[in-house]
Amino acid sequence: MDWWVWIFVTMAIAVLAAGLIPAIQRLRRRGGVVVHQLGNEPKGRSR
Amino acid sequence: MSALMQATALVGRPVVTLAGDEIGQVKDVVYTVADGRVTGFTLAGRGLLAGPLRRALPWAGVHAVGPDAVMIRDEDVFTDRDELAERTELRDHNLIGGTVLTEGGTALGTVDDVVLDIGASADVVGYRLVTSEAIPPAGRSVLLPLPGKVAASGEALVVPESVAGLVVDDLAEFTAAVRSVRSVPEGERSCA
Amino acid sequence: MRLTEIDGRRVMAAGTAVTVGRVAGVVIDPRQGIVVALRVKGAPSGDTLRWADVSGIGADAVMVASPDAVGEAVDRTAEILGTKHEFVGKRLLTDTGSDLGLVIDVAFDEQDGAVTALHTEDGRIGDADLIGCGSYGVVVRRHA
Repeated sequence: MDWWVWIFVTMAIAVLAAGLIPAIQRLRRRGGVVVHQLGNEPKGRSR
Repeated sequence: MSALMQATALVGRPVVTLAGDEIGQVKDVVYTVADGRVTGFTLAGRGLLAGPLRRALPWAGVHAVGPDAVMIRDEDVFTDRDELAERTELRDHNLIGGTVLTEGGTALGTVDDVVLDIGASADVVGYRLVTSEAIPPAGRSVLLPLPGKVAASGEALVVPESVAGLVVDDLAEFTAAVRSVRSVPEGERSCA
Repeated sequence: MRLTEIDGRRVMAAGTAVTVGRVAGVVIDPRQGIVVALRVKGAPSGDTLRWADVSGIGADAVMVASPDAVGEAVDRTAEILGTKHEFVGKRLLTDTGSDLGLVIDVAFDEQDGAVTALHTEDGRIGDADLIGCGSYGVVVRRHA
């Protein structure tokens, strides 16, 4: 195959991976104890 | 009747209706700091490929939190996940692993777990933390009885200066400490 | 009577003295805690025998008045059959969220069909009211 085909395929895979990996990580995020502040006050309220 | 439980032990616990149908599993325990208690759970599906669910379980919909399952009345008790907590909170505000800082700015350690007193409500009554050098020997897992409201976020838990002396090693001592603190009416708590 | 005892027992029509089929399970209404029907295999007219149409349960046969007693499931029985209604092999859960083990057998009263006990790998649970049977398990409320 021509060299430019390989470059194209490699770039396509890289773009896909860059998009998919964070998406999968978000989906697979383990649960925990989430802090909920009513009305979402800024985090710095405790100094 | 109430029982002490560690919040992370609830993660992954199946959520089952009284009719015996499985809805999913607990993903996040949502701790509403202003109330000092757990106000609900976000859910994930069961199985390897199951992702997070859009519907979430508010505390009012919980029938019982048992050792093997969280029981709910039926499938009408859910709310939308966004009603329980903001998206950004679910992503970034995990208290586990956060720093425990005193009001004076000393790091006592990191949060390992949140201790709940589960009865009619799920009150936060203390924390399990892994100690820093401030509570020697460092790297120890201890319990901090701290019922009531504190300042907490996804990055840190800020506690009164005096509590470093309150840490205990086992659950029996912890229970005794929590009961004695909680018998004092809300307005008169000395650790405020 | 236990589910495992009645399973496979022949269903005999008293009027014709002919075997209609064999018992292939029971249908329990998990909300009322009673057997509402027997499942029958090998009968040409259907696969369900309403509890009310059973004229007697003996050591060797389940008696019905006529072969027509075995038919298709209707009403509440059909509704239950549309759910995950099987008891055996499911987890037994209390309404307070404790797992009591896997259900291996169900005991019921031969006269009124009321479920009297659930048997698990670990033993017999007779002090509980049935409240549900679904995809995850059988749920009971234990007497205080």
